[in-house]
Amino acid sequence: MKVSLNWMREFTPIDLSPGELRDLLDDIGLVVDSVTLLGEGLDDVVVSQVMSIEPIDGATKIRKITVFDGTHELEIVCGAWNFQIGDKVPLARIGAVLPGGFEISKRKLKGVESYGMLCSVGELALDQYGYSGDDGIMILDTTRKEGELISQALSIIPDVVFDLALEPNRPDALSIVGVARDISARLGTPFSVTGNSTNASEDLDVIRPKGSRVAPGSLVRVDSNSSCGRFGVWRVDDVKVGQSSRLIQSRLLGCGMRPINAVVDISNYLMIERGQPSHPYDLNKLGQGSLQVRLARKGETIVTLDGLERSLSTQDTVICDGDDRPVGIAGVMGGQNSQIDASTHSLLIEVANFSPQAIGRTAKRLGLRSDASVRFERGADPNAIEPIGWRFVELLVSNGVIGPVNGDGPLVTFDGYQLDHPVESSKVTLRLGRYSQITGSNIDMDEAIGILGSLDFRTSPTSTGDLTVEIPTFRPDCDREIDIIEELIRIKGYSTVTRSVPASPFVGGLSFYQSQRRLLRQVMSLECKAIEATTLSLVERGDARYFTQGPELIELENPLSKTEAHLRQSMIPGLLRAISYNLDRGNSHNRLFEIGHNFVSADTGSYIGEREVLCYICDLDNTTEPSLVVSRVMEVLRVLGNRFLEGQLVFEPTSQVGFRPGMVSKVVSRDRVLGLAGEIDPTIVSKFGLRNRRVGAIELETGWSFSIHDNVQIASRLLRAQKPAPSTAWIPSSFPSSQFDLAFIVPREIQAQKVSDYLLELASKAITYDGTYKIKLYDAYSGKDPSASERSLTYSVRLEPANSTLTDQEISTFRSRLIDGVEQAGLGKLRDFQ
Amino acid sequence: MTTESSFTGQLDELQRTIAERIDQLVSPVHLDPSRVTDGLVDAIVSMRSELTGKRSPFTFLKKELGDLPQEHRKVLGGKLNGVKDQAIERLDRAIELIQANSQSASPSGSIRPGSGPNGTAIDFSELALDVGQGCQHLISQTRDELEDVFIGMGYSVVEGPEVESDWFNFEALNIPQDHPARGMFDTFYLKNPKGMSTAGDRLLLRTHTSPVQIRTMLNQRPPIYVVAPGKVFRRDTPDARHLPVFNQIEGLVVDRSITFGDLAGTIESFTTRYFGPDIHSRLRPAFFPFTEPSAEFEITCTICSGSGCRTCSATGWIELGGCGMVDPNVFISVGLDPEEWSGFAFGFGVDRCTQMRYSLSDMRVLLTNDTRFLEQFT
Repeated sequence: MKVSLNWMREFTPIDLSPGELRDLLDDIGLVVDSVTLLGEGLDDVVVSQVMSIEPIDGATKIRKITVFDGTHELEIVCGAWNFQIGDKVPLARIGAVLPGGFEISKRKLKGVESYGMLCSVGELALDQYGYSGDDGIMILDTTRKEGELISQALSIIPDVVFDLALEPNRPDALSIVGVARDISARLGTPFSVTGNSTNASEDLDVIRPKGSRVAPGSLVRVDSNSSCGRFGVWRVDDVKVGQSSRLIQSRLLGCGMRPINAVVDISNYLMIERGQPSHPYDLNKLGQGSLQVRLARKGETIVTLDGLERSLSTQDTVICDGDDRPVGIAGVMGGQNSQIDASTHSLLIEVANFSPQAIGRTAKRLGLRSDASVRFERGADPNAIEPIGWRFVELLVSNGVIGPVNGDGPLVTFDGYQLDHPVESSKVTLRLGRYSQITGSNIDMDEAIGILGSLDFRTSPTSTGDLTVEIPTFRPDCDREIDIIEELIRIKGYSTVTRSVPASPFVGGLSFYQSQRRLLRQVMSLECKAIEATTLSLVERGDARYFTQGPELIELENPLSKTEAHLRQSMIPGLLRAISYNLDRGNSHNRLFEIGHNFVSADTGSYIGEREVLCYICDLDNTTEPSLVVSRVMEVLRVLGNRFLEGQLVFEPTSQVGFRPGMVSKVVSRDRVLGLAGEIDPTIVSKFGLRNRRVGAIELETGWSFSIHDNVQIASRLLRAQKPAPSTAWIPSSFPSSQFDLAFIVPREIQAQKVSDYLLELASKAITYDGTYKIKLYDAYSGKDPSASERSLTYSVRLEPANSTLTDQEISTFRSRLIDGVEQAGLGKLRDFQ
Repeated sequence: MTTESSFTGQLDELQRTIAERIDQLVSPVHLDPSRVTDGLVDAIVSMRSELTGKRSPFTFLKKELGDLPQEHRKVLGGKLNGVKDQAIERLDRAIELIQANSQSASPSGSIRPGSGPNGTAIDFSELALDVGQGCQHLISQTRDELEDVFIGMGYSVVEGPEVESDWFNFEALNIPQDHPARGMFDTFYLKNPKGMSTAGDRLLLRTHTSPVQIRTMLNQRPPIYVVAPGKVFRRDTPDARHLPVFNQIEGLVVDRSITFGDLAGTIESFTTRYFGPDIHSRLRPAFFPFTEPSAEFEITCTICSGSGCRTCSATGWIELGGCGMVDPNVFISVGLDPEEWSGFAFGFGVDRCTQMRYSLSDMRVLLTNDTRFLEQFT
């Protein structure tokens, strides 16, 4: 919303510099996006007359012009050719600083000194005042006197235009009077929508012309199912549609609107000044010369003023003519078929009020946000219709569109719908104590009454010391006590509150889960040397389906693009894209991780919930041995197992779409499947633009989940901690420990872990001494043939007696019991070295 | 005189010492075969020849076999060979692994430090190789720092789901259907599959972290002092200053007699703690449906320290976020009495803080995961 300072000054005195006013507007919540100074830079620009025009030796494009500026004759070098001897043209003297900051100095061109510059409309920024023609020097009226300031000659009044970024709750601020009212409230200066020369009284008895005739039901019929709440229509005959006054034109231009003709300009002028849209129709283009308001019918279309055909829905309200032909979309835009032009002889003027929600829906559906729809959507004053309509008529008179309406003939006919039932102002009780409770500062009764009065809120004290506040109908944003409190503190200024910091009764901190998650990020980055990435939660269906064959993906109804139309169920596709992006750029770091939410769906693709997940991905050249990528993955899992899962990690063979067959395992801790680890299927890797790469991946739950079904989030202790320290410290014995290795040939289908677990179980039974033992797998070897049906697993066994030295016999017995146990259980055979 | 048991004892002892030496040698290979030094390769090769050569301890033990009775020789000889084979195998495997990796290894994978048998000094700097550090994401780091500031002020950190229902994201926050304020949020909606009725409570990607306020107030009685960081979604085409997915942090305080002055003081306290003592804050009236009074908060421009520059449009201030007193309607929607409790809420972009702190000219770099960008912030 652009507002002109001069225009606002008609309603309240404003004695501030543009900078000060900008700060004030910002401080009352009418945020200024930009400030434009109009008519500046004309201080040293005067009317001059062309005395002679001479060529310059060696120059084809420029000429030497001699002009008279009222006192001197000056030589000017000029490149424009559109004027003749005797023409009056604007001259910028040496020292002038033109709009935009261009300073005029003495210059020498082709050996000729130039003492100033002849200017075009654009160079003087006069297009903002409605002047046009930029194909040369501006030619002035010959009656202008040489030496006269150009601003005086053209009656240019400098102005300042503020472009405001307004909040959607303040429809009243979408008008000059609304902004002026707020300024006056802050400044404590008088404000009036009436008392000055260009604004007549709002008193209907004064502005309603004597010759008007009221004709109930003859000019408009409104269907009560439509979104129309109130409707006023004025018929005006014998109009001459010319140009509007220079004042109206320049103000419209200053506020960013193009003047069209007097009637349309007046409609726009009123909308900007008062915030109330209106619409003029050419009466002769309306069937029956009347209007109807109703809901649109299915399949109905209309060509709007912008020349586009719009299809309407049965929720849209349309304005039709007496023949039921749509002539406008209510509250949004008029139709092309009834617009005003030079031949218009009679007008119907519509000033109405519509349901904000209905207009909002229609404008949104049509993608057509007009100046009118924005105002209706936010809520126009339902009681403004009559004053605005009559003011329209008044401006038609003052702009010469119609003759004076003084009672000689019935020139104006008026009809209205629901206008006899003005909307009552609502009343709210304001407790001054409540003001203090909310703001932490005090306000006294007089101050509150003063501020509210300046905003046109009427007040009356109650017997209990509170205030009854009557809210004007142009402030739909206010209907509660808290809204009044906001108005008071807004006008007083937010900076006037006393700042304090509330003392929290808690010791702040992270939950256990949150601090473990932070540690997880540290471990992944510092220990596992991976770089944290953040990929989009939205993925392309094709990418995602490489990794799930189960439930359908959750789809967005209104995605921005097809590649971001589904919620991710895995982070692997996103991270593969990230790896691919980096490889394309020759970035060699090839370990990434991400912690974020994955989304879970039912078979039908409906949303069930989400869970937090850690995903790790690493890539290697595919000339490396296949097991290497898995050992990379295992390094990370080992770290995670030790750091967060008390070393309790179990691997269960599985198959999973997206992974290379045989190269994927479930990762289990304490009977809970946390996720998967393995090598990504090479054929899928190549689909992500990764050529000749081996990619390893881990995707594990971290323990946070949310279920839509019961609307509950859970942060489990999945990420526990390192293995807890023993309650009693164990001190290594001073007696020597004994150590031996056992190598078993184990069929491939038996997991190493199973053998390890069984050995521990055997040891617990075999132990004959007081003390401890340790058994660990330290080598697994498949020989040259990785497809062999068995492999060798070597365990190292360490016996730690507490208070004796073990005899060979004891050791040998222990050893045999382990060997025999494993062999009898069919888990493997001691490796035969013969 | 060699006996069966003394031979076995010697063999076990030998096996143990060799196993330990091999453990030491090959463990770096298993850890990362691409980063093995030539020195280590040499050591592995020389140990292999030590075990197979004439002076090998196995050769020595083999000689002792001759002293044993015939019936034990075969078994113990087999055992001896087994131990030897196993050791050789382990060394061979390590070498294989190194060879397999030599192609994929980084250029720095093979180094020869200036060490020699004659004890020349090692060039430590030659070994100070860049092995590719990991790091946390810039946004995560900023989020942690922001959380820590509020933790220091007695706040807890709360979280919520990224898919929300219309009720949590809008209705409970005093943004009814068709309210013009809905236009402030370009929302992604989830497609509802056939047969699933979610009329009136559609699912969407949360447009702000404010639904976590609602969840918190439904879960816990006041007093409440929390911050809620997290991902939020807006249907915005990415440009230099906007991303369709970004991070917010939201604060909520609900207690008895919390005032607007408390809000202003808290914002100021946060600003000086996070940005430094020279950066201050101010509040300016604004509109949010879930707070009343509402404010935008601005901080001293971090680029020009308030003297006015291009970034702050010469005002000396830059906008950081929104805040206000919790609207009574929000309290009512979670069943709290607005006459008994009052509170404030504030929220701002984690990405925006990051952008200001590191003068990020184009936010879209955050979407690329370009490691050259991310690695700067280790």
